[in-house]
This record gives sequence, structure tokens and C-alpha cells, in this order.
Amino acid sequence: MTPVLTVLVAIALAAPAAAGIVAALGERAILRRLAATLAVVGVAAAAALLGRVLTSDPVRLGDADAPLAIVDRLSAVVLLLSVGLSAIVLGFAARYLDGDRRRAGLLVGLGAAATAAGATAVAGTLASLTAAWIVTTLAVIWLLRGAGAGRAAGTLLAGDLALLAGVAIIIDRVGDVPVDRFGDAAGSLDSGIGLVAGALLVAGAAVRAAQLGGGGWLIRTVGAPTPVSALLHAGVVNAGGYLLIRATPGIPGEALVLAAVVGGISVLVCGAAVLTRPDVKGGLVMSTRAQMGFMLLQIGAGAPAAAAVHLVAHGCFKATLFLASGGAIDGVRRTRDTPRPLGAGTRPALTAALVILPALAVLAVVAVAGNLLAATALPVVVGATLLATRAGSGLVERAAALTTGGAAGAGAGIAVLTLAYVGFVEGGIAVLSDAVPEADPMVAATAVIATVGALLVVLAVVRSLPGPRRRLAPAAEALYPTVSSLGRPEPFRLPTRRVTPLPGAGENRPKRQRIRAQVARAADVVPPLWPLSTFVAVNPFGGFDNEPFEDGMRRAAALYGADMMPSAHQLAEAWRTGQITGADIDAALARDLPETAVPSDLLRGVMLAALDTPRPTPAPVRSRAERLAPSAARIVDREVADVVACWLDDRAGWSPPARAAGLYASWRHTAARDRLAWRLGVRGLRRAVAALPDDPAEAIDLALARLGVPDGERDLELRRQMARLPGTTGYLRYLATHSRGGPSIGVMVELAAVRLSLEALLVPDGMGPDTPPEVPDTTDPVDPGAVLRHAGRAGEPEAAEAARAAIPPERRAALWLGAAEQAFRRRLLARIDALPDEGPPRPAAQLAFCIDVRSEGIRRHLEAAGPYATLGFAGFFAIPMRFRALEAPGATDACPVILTPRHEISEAPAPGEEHRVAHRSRRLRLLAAIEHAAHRAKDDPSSPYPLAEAAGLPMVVLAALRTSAPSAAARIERWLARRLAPPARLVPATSHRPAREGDEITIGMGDAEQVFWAEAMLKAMGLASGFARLLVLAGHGGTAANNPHRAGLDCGACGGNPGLPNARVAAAILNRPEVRAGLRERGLDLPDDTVVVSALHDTTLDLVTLDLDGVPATHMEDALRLQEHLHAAGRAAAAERALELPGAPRTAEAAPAHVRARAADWAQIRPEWALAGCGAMVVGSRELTRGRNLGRRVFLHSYDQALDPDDAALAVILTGPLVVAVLRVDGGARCLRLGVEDAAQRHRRHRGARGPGRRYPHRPAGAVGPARRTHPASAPAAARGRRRARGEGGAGDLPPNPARSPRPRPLGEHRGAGRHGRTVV
Amino acid sequence: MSHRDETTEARRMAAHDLVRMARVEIVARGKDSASVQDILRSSGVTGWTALSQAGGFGHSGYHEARLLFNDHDALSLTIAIMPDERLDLVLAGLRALFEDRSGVFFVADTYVSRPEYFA
Repeated sequence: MTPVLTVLVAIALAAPAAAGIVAALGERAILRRLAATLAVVGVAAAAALLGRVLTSDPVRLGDADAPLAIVDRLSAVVLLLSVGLSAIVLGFAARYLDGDRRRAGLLVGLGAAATAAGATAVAGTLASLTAAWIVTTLAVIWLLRGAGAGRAAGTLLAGDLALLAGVAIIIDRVGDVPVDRFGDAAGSLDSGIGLVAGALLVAGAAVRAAQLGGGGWLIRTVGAPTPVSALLHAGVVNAGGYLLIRATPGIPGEALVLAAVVGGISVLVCGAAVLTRPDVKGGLVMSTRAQMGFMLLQIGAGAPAAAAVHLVAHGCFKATLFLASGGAIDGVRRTRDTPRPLGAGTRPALTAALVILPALAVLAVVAVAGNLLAATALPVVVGATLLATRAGSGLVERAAALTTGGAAGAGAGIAVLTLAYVGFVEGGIAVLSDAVPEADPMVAATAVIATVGALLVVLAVVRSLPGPRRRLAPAAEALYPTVSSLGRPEPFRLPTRRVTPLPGAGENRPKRQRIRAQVARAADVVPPLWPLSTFVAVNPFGGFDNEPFEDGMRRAAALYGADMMPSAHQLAEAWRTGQITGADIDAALARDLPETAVPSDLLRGVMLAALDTPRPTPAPVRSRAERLAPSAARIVDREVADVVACWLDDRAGWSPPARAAGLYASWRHTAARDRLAWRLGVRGLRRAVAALPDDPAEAIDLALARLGVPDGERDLELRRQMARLPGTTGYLRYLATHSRGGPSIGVMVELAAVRLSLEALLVPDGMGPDTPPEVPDTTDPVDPGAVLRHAGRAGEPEAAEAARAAIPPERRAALWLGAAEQAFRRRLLARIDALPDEGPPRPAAQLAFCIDVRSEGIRRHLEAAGPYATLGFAGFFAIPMRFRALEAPGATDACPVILTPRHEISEAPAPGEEHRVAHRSRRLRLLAAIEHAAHRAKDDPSSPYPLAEAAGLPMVVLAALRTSAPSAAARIERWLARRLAPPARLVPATSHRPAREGDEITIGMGDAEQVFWAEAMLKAMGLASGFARLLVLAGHGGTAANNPHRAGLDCGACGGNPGLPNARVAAAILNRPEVRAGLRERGLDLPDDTVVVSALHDTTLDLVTLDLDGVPATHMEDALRLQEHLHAAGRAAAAERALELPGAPRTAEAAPAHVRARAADWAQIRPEWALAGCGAMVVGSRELTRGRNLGRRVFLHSYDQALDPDDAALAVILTGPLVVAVLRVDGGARCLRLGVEDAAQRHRRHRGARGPGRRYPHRPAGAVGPARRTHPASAPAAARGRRRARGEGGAGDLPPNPARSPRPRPLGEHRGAGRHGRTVV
Repeated sequence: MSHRDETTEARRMAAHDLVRMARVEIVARGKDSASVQDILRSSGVTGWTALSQAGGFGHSGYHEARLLFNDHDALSLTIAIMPDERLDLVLAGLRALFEDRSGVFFVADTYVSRPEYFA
């Protein structure tokens, strides 16, 4: 039997590492399958081992006194946990990291860490356990490279040293004992030595479990890729608990008391800190620390078996939460669109009784019958009670949503949850108690546990009752600064030890006003940044739109420290492959260079030679603090990003004090009391913060004076301050300028005041004057010889010199960009200028799609499939509305961001659907209440521990399903959603409602307005006659799972929302006889037999679905035929698109299934390429482009000049859709590359387009970001990545289009661009 | 208007029970109107009238007033009435704001019947 068991252990241990290595070999399907198979084999082996030890005695492999491995029930369970979770995490990571440069290294590291963690569990002797432990640490440090590895590594290794010392003492005294005699061996030591060894073990375990001061390492890892976080929190931190569980019988009681005290403090403090964290991952980190504290508490209580059960359940729970953290933004959208809870309810007491009492009653019966009231099982009963009451009270808060039956059902559900918890814990303890005997705790440990337990119960009660909660508010306010700073990333070292307060100054109000205006100007360099739930990009160079393009780029590059132009390598490649030709370079030079007598071949020679030399970069703009004390500037970035995120997060359970008084006042309140000074090791900071002036503008003035910024440099200093954290600044600007109920634009002054005050205080006072600026190197890197060589000439150095002088080095990159754009324009025009294809004389249907480039493919395929005509129009279909889902609390501005919504339109039941809609509404409310209750139980300081134990296993099963079979999981989820809340038909409520007091906006639309907008739409898209029987308006949206950037796939013309509601409203309006009559008066005669149908174009699935419900019987046959053709066109479009998706099959048959699986995959961060690579907009008739493959890179807006004699419609297109299209060019690239950052981790690393910001995509903070605004050079990179994905020279390939992000220009300039005739490119 | 005329004007208005105040009209880019209003607010001005979609002719040529699908790139006109002591603050802010961008403001005397509205 032993050889078989040895093989099983070897397989279980080797499987994660082998799976990691195989997955790291590449992204091909066969490698993925092989890696998955290896991982599953490992899980099977671990499960078999567990089965073996559950049914018979523990297994010892190798020598009895120095076994290679020991597999008892505890180690088998922990081994299965490590191997099982690593299988899920590796499967997730293999897709999540696709295209990432670090993919191979991370996958190998993940496998190695899991293998080492498994080896820790089954290690035979103390020495081998310690060795495996240290290997795990090294693997973790490898995984954290670039994500806080430096200081995290230091702390982890210090913890390992403590462990090593403790183990060394034990080995020195009693030898290298088998692990299962570890406790006895430790117990046999002299009391003094034993205590020292025990304390060292506790210290080592506490560091690994991120307790107290040793927990900082875990906070620093929040920037790690999501799968790494999942493995860290589920498989690595647990080792601390595992070690102590093993050692418990022998560890002196005093050391256990120490463990209990450490754990108790973590439970109370870290559990409370969860409430202050605005970012999802930050909250999970604090939660892990609290959960590990709970485990130490259990160990201290002499209940190591219970601790082991918690270890397993929490590992499953936390791994799933981390992997699912990208879904937070979906949660925001769901909350916004789900019917709001109805008032306070009429019988709250009855509802509460129905919800909570069943669980308590069942619990009482079980406790008495099962003798759970014994002292050791009492915590389980208390935990179950806390879980039931917390979840129950969460439900009662939405109580009015529950009918009596609903409440009783919910009560039954909570009872089941409570029973599941008790059953799991008691069953787990029974299974593990053989391997882990209970110990007798010391009285002190029991006292600690009782105190912590009592405090948790009191906290739960206080938080539930409004009265006591109010009375304790001052205490909460006093505690907030200390608790909240626990969750902040650790600061850097600072070159100062003492902070001197800023000197006071007399009041000078005009000066304050000037400073306010200066800040407002400076803030313009960072355009507004929309929240992730309605992801809209704006021109990242928007702040430079008063300047010529090249100058603006140069200034932006200096300010952001980023090169804006395509790389020399990219351009050289385009030149080598002939995508950019000599004629393109000549054209760019002729257009953008002043006239010169130098021959064109020499000028071209300079351009080509420039590709071989380093490109001159503008001197970066740096703030005064960056120059004087860079570490202080970095600390300020971290602190300010976090302070702003906390201040903005209105969903946090515990908000900063003085929040309503504004950002600056709130920060002063907190910073005058928090632990920053302590963490930095400086004195006087709190006092100096308290002494700052009340007025933010005055604080800016004082700070600038302290930093020695002369008046002439203030503008630049302020701009750099704003550009340091573009995500934070941009989001505040969005709130101030585009959100309802947000702060005023004065918040920018407050932001500058916080930043500058902190910088002025942290930069050592009296630092010497600034070093003189470096003199830039003006040597031309291009060699005249190279110019001649590239020009194909010889021996004319003077001519080469003249050519070099004609094109200054700093202009060459921009001229190359011009050449690249010229190449794109040339090829595009060559296609468009070919003979127009007039299309079918009388189309069976006309379909208006959004101008979005993603419509181009499906339009082309549909037109090829049947007698159809397609049109392009901005996907909001001229409906400037704010849309509110049925009875929803929130509404979205479903129109372009440059337009203010004029009408609020909500949903209403379709005729005859009232009952079904009401039923669905009730169900949605109930589901929302359950979700709310789960969140309350998860985030509350009192209940997450039992919740983790109750929910851990079911959650990990779901995670395994979502990872191994994403399509099946999605089907099950959809089926369940349909069962739980059966769909019902809704229609837009367009009719006008008279204004009431308090209305912010017109509700509905009057007839005249409906006619007005309908006319605007039809005329702007050149559709005034020749209407087909079916006119389809197709709004578009994307599908993605667990993806915070999902809104980036939706319609930009609808403000980053799905376009279906707009299409439905527009169709409903156009079908109204009153509107048709009005249109007829204006010369737009929609025939009576024309039916307007709305549709949804899902761009991720290439699926256009008609709203067949609204189609009359007379048109149904046509509509069904069209639907069939749409499906066929979608399949063809998917096949074409799949060629460019990394890891997609290359066959047309497999493509549709692949794009569906991709959209459903929770590990997939790039379900589609969205707008990456888009490069042009054609405004004109479809005849110009029909039948031409434009590679889904061109916006197509329909337009008919004959209908527009005064150019009014053209003006509308050029000032509206064109501007939005330009915004989307940036946005498309951005949503692919953007790494969400809680800007605290402000790394300046940027990856190629195929590795878009994946290191942070799961760090939504406070439901909104702050997101890191992408490096503006990302768009060319995105284009590059997409080209690489499709393979060079692919059919229909247009040259690279390094996004140029033209500013929205005044009307006159666009008119000038119209000289190409009807086509504006 | 000479000093004497001004005095006469003021007397005439006082006879109508009207009080002299300063009127500031600001024409700015639509995207700057929030900053303009912040300057007014932080100077203690208690109210103003804002017209979006303003148009006209000036240094940069014609500026279209009404763009159907774009409220963002039009001009805005803000009119505020204030006592003289607030004027200094408003002017200090507006001057600094328009240092690097287009935008104009005009200041004139005006008379109001309910001065407490604007204090």
C-alpha cells in the first residue's frame, strides 16, 4: 500500500508545479487542457489521500522516526485545500494573464507556491516543514515582484527567521522530530526555553498570518495580480495557523495566551478597519487579517480543530471573493437598476420575527439536542446566533420588500444557512479531532476570548440600533483616524524627522481668489474621468486643446512623463512591411514642414535615420517636492489617493469624520489625529496639520511659499500637482462638472491644498535652493552619414547637414506620426473611392446601427446575406434622455457626455404584462435584499467568521465550476435568474408628465419634442424617403463577466451604457401615429406599412436580437427572416473577429461558441477588442463603403448631402458624433489597457496592448475607481497589440493607426476638413 | 459719464428707492462656467443667472450658438449682481482665470430694488 500512497503524495504535490509550468509554456489550447488535466489529477490524488486517512489510520511515508511525509486527517485536508485552490487559481490565471509579459513567470510561481504550501502540510519532520515553509516564502516573494515585493519580502523573511530560531531551539534540544510529535516535543522542553521557542513560533506564525505589526506585508500586496492575491490569502497566510495547530499540544499556555491576545486585537481592529476601506481588495486584505486573528483566537482557546475548520472554510471563501472581485462594478449597476425597496414597511417587528426567529429556534433545538451548550461548543452557538441576527437584520432593512410569505421564506433560508454553519463546524471538528486534540486553555486565554466575543456581540447590537449607534458616534469619530490608517499602504522612508508648522499669514482675500482661479486653470490639464459603472473616456489631451497638436503633445509628454508618439520599433516595422511608404513620408513632410530647398530623398533619409537613434524626450516637469524630496512626493501620492477615495466612498460602513465639511477639512480632521506621523517616524506632523489655515487657498499659498515656488512657476507647479494622480484628479473633476449632487469645482482647490500642505510639511524645512535645471543636450543624434545612406547618396555631407537642420530632432516623431496617418488615409480612400455600390433598390429592411466601428463587420456580412440596407447613426438615436429602469433608485444619462439630458424616461409594464412585471419586481427586490444581507454579514465586524464557515465550501464549488466550465456556469446562472425572477415585458414610458416641484428634468417627452428629435435623427442620417417595411434601430452593448471595465464595451453615444433603451424609445416614438403626422408636415413621410423595430447588437457575441414582441403579425414573417439572416451574419462576423482574439480558434465553425464562452468567462479580462485600432470616420452614404472590408476600424455615419442644402445636418454630425467618436478612440484603447488602480499603487509601468493593465484590473475602489488614467501613448500600443494578434499581413489589414486624439475643434476647422467632398476622413 | 452725471443718476435712482450695485457679465467657454461660478460663490456672491448656448463674433471669428448634439463646446453667459465690496474679489479671480484662455467680462453699475437679495 505504501508505494501507492507515496505515488499519490508525489502526484498531489507535483501537480500544481507541473500544471504551472505547462500553462506557462504558451497560450495554445492543448497546453491549457494539459495543465488543467494535471491540476485535476493532483486534486484527485489529494482527495484519494483524504479518503484513505478518513477510513483508516494516518500514513507515514519513509522512516518511522524521520518520515518523508505524514498524512493524517489534518494534513490531508490542508493538502487538498492547497492543491484544489491552486487548480482553480491556475485555471483562472492561465486565461487572466493571457498576453501578459509576466504570464509565464507568474504561472510557474503560482504552481511552485501551491506545491510548497502542500509540502508544508504533509512535511514529515520539523526540519522539512520549515524548509517547505521557507520555499513558500521565496515563491511568494517571486510572485510579488513589482507589486510591493521589497518591504513585504523583508517582513516575511523576518517572520521566517523567528520561526527558524524557534525550530532550531526545539531541534537542538530534542532533535528533528516527526511533525505529529511536534507538540509533544515542544512540550518536553524546559519551561523557560519552551516559552521562548513557543513565543518565536507564535511570532513566525503571526507574521505569516499578517497579524499586528507583521501584517503590513499583506497590505503592500494589494497591487498583485488577482490570482496571486487569491492564492496568498487562501493558501499562504493559512500556514501560520497550520503551524500553531500542529504545535498546540506542546506550546506553553503563556504562548497560547499571546496568540489569543494577538488574534483578539486583529479581530477587533482589522475587523473594524474593513469598514473604512474604499477599495475592494483593500477591504479583503483587512478581512483576511481579521479572519486569521479569529483563527489564532481559536488556537489560543485550546480549540485547534475548530481553527483548522476555519482555516479551510476561510481559504475557500476568500479565494472566491478575490477571484470575483471584478464583479463589484456590476454590483453598482445592479443596485442602480434594481427596483428600490418600498419605504419602511408596515409591520417591521413581524417581519423581523419571521426572518430571524426560525433560525434562532432551530439553533436552540439543535444546541440542546446536540449538547452544543458545553463550554467548547458555545462559541459555535454564539457565532451561529450572530450570523442569523446579522443576516436577518440585513434583510429586515429591506423588509418592506418582503411579503409575509417572502419573510417566512427568507427566515427559512437563514435557518438553513445557520444549520449549515453548525453542521459544517461540528462535522469538521469531529473529523479533525483525531489529528488535532483539544488542549486546555489558560484562564487568561479564555478571558481574552470571552472579552472579544462579548465586544463583538455588543458591537453587533449597537450597530443594529439607531439610538446607541448615534450615542457612540463621537467615539467612532475619535477612533476613525487610527483604524482607517491601518489599511493604508505602508509609507516610504522620509528624509526628515521633525515637521515644522507652516507660518501663519495675514488674510488676503483677493489673493485667495487668484489662487482659486489658478488652480481651476491648472486642473484643466486633467480631463474628467467617468466612474467605471458608466465608462466614458474623454480626450486625455483635453487640457491642451488650445495649442497646436505637436506643441500640446510635447507639453503633455513633459507633464505626464510619457512619450506620446508611436515607438521607433513600431514605425520601423510599418516601414519595413511597406505599410508606410516613401510617398507617405513625403506627403507628411510636404504638409507639416515649412518649405525647404532640401531634396525630398535627403529629408526622407533624415526621417529613416531617426528611427535608428534614440528619440529626444522633453525634460519632465517635476513638482518642487519631487525635486527636493522624492520620497515625500511618493508618500503624498499614496496618502492623497487613499484620503480622497475614503472621502468619496459613500458606501463605506464607516465614513471619515467631517466628510460633509469638504475634502480639505475632512483630511485635516483625520490627519491631525491619524498614525501617519507614527508610521513615518516624524514628530510634529499632527500639530502642524492642525495649525494649517481653514481656507484651502490660503493653505496653498503658504505651502507654495514654504516650498520656495516663485510666482512665475506657480502655474506649472499646480499643473504638475494635478497631473501627479490623474485618476483621482480626473474623477473629482467628473464629480464636480458632470454628476448630480457632486461637490463644486472648488474641490480641485481642496485637492491641491491637501497635496501641497502635506508636501510642504514633509519636505525638510529649509532645504537648499533648487539645483539649476540641466542644460538639454542639443547634439543631433542622427549622423549625416546615416542620412546619406538612407537617401541612397554618397559624399555630400553639406547636403546631409542641411537636411538634418531642416527637420529638428524634436519634430521627427510627430512627422512620422503624420506619415503613418497619411498611409492609413491613403489606403482607406483608395477603397472608398472605388465605384460606389448602390445596394438593393428596395431593401427588405433598413437597419440603423451605431456608428461604432464594431458595427462595420456585422453590417457588411448582413448586406452580403440578403437584400438589406444598413445605416450608421450615433447609437443614442437622438434621444437625449436620462434613463431609469423600472422603479429603480438610480438613473443614467443615456446620451453622449457632451450633451445634457433633456428628458427622464423610465420603464413601464407593456400592456397586459402588469402582473408579470409586478411579480418580477417583487422577486428582484427580494434578491436585492438577500444580496444586501450577505454584504452586511460579510462586512460587519461581528459576523464574517461564521459566514466564511457557512459559505466557504459552496462558494468554492461555484468558483471551480466558473473556472472549469464558464459557459455551463453562465447557462446555469441565466437559468437560475430566469427562474428566480421570470422576465416580463417592459416598454419605455415616453409620454410627458406635467412638471412638479422638485423635478430636476422634464419627465417624459411631449409630442412636439418627440417630432423634433425624430426629425433630427432621420435627417442627420440622410433617411427621408424610400423607407422599407422594417426599419430596425439597433442599440449596442457588450457582455462580460466579472469585469470592472464592462461598461467600456457599451455604447459611448449612450454615455457608456447599453444602447437598447435608447433604441426602444426611438422606435416607440417613430411608431406613434401622432409623431408620424408631425413628421409628414416636415416632409418626412414614413409609410403606414413601415414598422420600426428596436434591437440589441451585442458586440461581444456578434449577436443582433430583434425586439420581436413589438412586431405586428403583418410583418412577423419578414422580421423572422431578418432575424435568421442576422444570426448568420453574426456567425460570419464572429469568425472574422475571432482571428484577432488571442487564444481563439481559427475555424469559422468554432468561432461563435468561442466568443460566447469568452464573454461568459469570469477569468477573461478582454472579451473583445472593443474600439482598439479604430482609425477613421466616414460621413457619407453607405454606397461609398458598401461591400468594402474596412476591418472594423472605421466609424460610419450615414449622411446625404442632397437633404442638407444648408449643411445643418453636417454641422450636427461634426460637432456631435464626430467629437464623441474621437473620445471613443481613446476610450476603446483605454478600456483595454487601463489598469484600475486605487491610485495608491501608482506604478508607472505600462504594458503592451496585449497585457492591458491586467495587474490591477480588479481593484475597484468605492465602486468607482479611482482608476488610473491610461498613459496617453496606450492607443498606439493597443493598435500594435491588435495587429500582432491578427498576424502581419492579414486580409483587410490597414496600416497602423497611432491614435492621434485630435482635439474637438471649432466648427470652422471641421468644415475645412470637408474638402474631400461628401466624405470626411 | 462724468462724476457729476453719476451723482445725478444715483440721486435719481435713490428717489426711486433703488440701490446701486455692480453688475458683472461674463462670457466664457461652456467648460469654464463651473470655474466662473466657483469664483462667484467663493467671493460671497449669492446668486447669478447663467445662459448656456451663447454665441457671437469675436477674436476667434464666429462661435456657433446652438449645436444640436453638443452642449459642451458652446459659450456661456453668466450675469451676477453684487455690492462693491465683493467686486474686488470677483475681479481678482476672473482676471486670473482668463489669463490663459478666451473669455471676457464686463462690469457696469446697476440698480436694484431689493439690495438684501444680493448682499
